[in-house]
Amino acid sequence: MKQKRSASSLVRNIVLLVLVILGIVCLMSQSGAAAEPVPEAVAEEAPPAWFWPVVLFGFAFVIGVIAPISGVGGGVLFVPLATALLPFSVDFVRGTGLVMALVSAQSSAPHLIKKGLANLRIMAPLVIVSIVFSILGSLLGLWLTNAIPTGEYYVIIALGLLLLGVFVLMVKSKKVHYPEIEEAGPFAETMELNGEWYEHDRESTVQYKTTRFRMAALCFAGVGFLGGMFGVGAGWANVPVLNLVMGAPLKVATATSMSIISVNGAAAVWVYLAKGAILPLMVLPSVIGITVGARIGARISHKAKPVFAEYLVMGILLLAAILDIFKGLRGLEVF
Amino acid sequence: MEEEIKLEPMYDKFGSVMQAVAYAGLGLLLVFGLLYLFGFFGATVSPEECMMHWDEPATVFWQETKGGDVDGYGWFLTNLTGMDSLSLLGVALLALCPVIALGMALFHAPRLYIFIFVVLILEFIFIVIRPLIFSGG
Repeated sequence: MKQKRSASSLVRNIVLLVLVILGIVCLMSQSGAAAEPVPEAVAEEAPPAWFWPVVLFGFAFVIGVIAPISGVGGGVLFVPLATALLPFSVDFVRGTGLVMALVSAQSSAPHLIKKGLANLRIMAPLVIVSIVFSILGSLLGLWLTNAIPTGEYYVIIALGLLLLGVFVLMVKSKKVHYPEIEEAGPFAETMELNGEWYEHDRESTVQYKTTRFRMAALCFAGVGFLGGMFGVGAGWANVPVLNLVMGAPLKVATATSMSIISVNGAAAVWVYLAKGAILPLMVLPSVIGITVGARIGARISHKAKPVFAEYLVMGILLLAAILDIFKGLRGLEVF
Repeated sequence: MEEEIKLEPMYDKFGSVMQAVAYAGLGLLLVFGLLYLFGFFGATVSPEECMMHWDEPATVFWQETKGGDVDGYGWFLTNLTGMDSLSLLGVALLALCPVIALGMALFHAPRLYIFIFVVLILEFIFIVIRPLIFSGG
């Protein structure tokens, strides 16, 4: 009963988040179409060629270390922070963030799939829905920054709002390691959306079944849209939906989310690639940085206090949200 | 003593193919990306030029660096002498990874999932060729 209530509140939060962000973006782009472009800043003397790749490497490395300790994906930290603090266009930051999320997901998903922790039977029908919305989100995001003179700033503000939503989601959503599902849903029953894996901590095989597929598919449509639009992996929403809405055990939800990102992210990358929004000069140091950092982070995560790491990440998210909204509003010359 | 979990063959196939293709894609990205970063051989857009314009939206970036719009894959597929374009082949391979894995797992999937995998593959193919249909790029 309690789980059902938290599941429906999660669905409500996600739908609300998508609607609020879409509404604000629509409203702002309406007024922005007529707005004057912001005058370009006076070009400063360029730093040496190695400078920014090294900064990107260090930046992604730090995020790579923090992410595994706190349990969030690197993309959701990289995109807003890089947008707020580094001098790159949000187009290239999102393209880079997507490739980073893709590389991370494709590095871990095969192992999890072969172990049976990531459930392909759950992933495939959900991805059919989310992939369509992920593409729509990518197209809208790139259209906004390229077709409207001040569109970039609206996207940055929307990114800040998304982060506030992620922050609220992290504060409010509870994790259930082994949700109890009395009866599998009708769709889940037909599609056999169930599974089992050997749990070392329990020294036994854990069997599970799932439910409420339709509600989860609705959430995945929204999450896919936001993930594509902002170039983030969206594990922050996938996991609670799989865990709280569908009732998948937490480990299965995390692993299945990875495999979903490896498909969804790949689809969205094609949109960014076709628009020339992926630059190897940014992608390479970021991918190497986050990969090396994540390996170190994974080792530290056994010793680190997860509660501290979670608070740290929540603090970073809140700060990045404020910085992004501030940067967007300043770009629009609101103040 | 670990109990043996019987997994459907599609799991192993999907996982193995994804792993192999992802490694190949990552390898391409890293090797050619590093050559580009350290200035070996040619580049489609030099790092210096890239840094001058990467604070502009993608459309403006390509107008400033190459004098035209980008819509499709021709901008890197027709410039494969540049190390940056070659490293993007790695990104393309990473982005093709799931569809190749799905295609291989298809032959090992239960009947109902063959249908779902085919729908997914068709969706993916449409996504890849969409810019070619709508812009001819």
